[in-house]
Amino acid sequence: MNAKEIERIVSSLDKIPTLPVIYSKLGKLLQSPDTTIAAVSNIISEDQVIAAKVLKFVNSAFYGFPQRVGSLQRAIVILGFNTIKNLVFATSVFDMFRGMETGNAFDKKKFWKHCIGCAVASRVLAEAADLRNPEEVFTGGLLHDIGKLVVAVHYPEKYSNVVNEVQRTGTPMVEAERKIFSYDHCQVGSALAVQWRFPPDTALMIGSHHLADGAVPTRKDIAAVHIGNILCMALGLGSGGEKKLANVNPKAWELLGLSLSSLELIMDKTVKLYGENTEILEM
Amino acid sequence: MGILNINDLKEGMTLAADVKNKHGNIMIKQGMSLTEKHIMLLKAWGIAEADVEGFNREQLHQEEMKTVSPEVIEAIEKELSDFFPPLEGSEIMSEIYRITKKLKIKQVMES
Repeated sequence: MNAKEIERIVSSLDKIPTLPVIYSKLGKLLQSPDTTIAAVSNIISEDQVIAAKVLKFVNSAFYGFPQRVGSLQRAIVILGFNTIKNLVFATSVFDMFRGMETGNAFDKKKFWKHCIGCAVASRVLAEAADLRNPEEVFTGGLLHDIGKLVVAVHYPEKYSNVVNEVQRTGTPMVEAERKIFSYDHCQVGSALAVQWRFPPDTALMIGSHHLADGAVPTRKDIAAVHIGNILCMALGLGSGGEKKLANVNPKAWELLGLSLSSLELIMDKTVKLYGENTEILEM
Repeated sequence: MGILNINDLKEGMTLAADVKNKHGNIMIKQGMSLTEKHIMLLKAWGIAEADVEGFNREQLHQEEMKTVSPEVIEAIEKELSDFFPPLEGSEIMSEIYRITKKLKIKQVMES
């Protein structure tokens, strides 16, 4: 199935949540060159839960500021508009799907943990490899499997068959999905990113993170999410439903230009940051 | 001398070579005896390994393993090899396996 067909299918689904009002307001505001920090801070303050999560994030070990950042305005000054927008999204995506039925085989709780694990690992990799946009890589990692959730919400029983087949046979999720649905979660995820008008980079990270055998990655952000996904699975941080761990595409590792000895530090850091991030995002 | 991962460095070990950052700047000179503060700084600087006198990875690994019961190691190995793809020929997957195993053993020891 080609991308246009998938986009048509996804746009016809009726349970896809709309992005929070605050996110679209923020998007509009940030397009204007005259936007002030106070205006951005006012919009975020409209939602106290999101505001509190953003502040917690700014004060988390990711940023490691020597002093506590106490106000939203200060957080915006330090982090910049784009990072704040990313954080607002990351902190609200969980709530958007809350309470939706996903069938009895698909474990939503473990799934979110897997997403957080992947986001953290991808970001740690992005920082270690000196990518310019670790924040966006974090969002890409957080959303890399969003297609699974979208399909499971709309076809809970049919998606349970996918999960059960994977558990029984050990075949990769994407293959079982293609067999049962004729499309896979990567395609659905990138179609959703188009519908939500996400930056093209995010759509690419979602759509290409699997890097099937022989695929040659050309973008470091995709390579980071690809490897981050495998690292968090190896470490057992949540579960996206796979029975078998996939191989790291050696070209992706090469592209990031990291030494093999840096991996231990990266995995260690991932485990540490994972705990803190789970706490904030699931709040 | 031998290159150790940053996590395995202990206070009192002597550097067998200069520790450099990724730009090639010397951060700590050869011959220094490591202090707790050095190790903390190395981690903060994102330095992954250091060359120290009188230790190597293999020997350290063997010593660590001695303190864990073979049943625990066996159970962890079984769990991991059921989940991991065959490791032959993949340096990176072998390293992920090694670190995961180490972290799991550490978790068991701490709990």
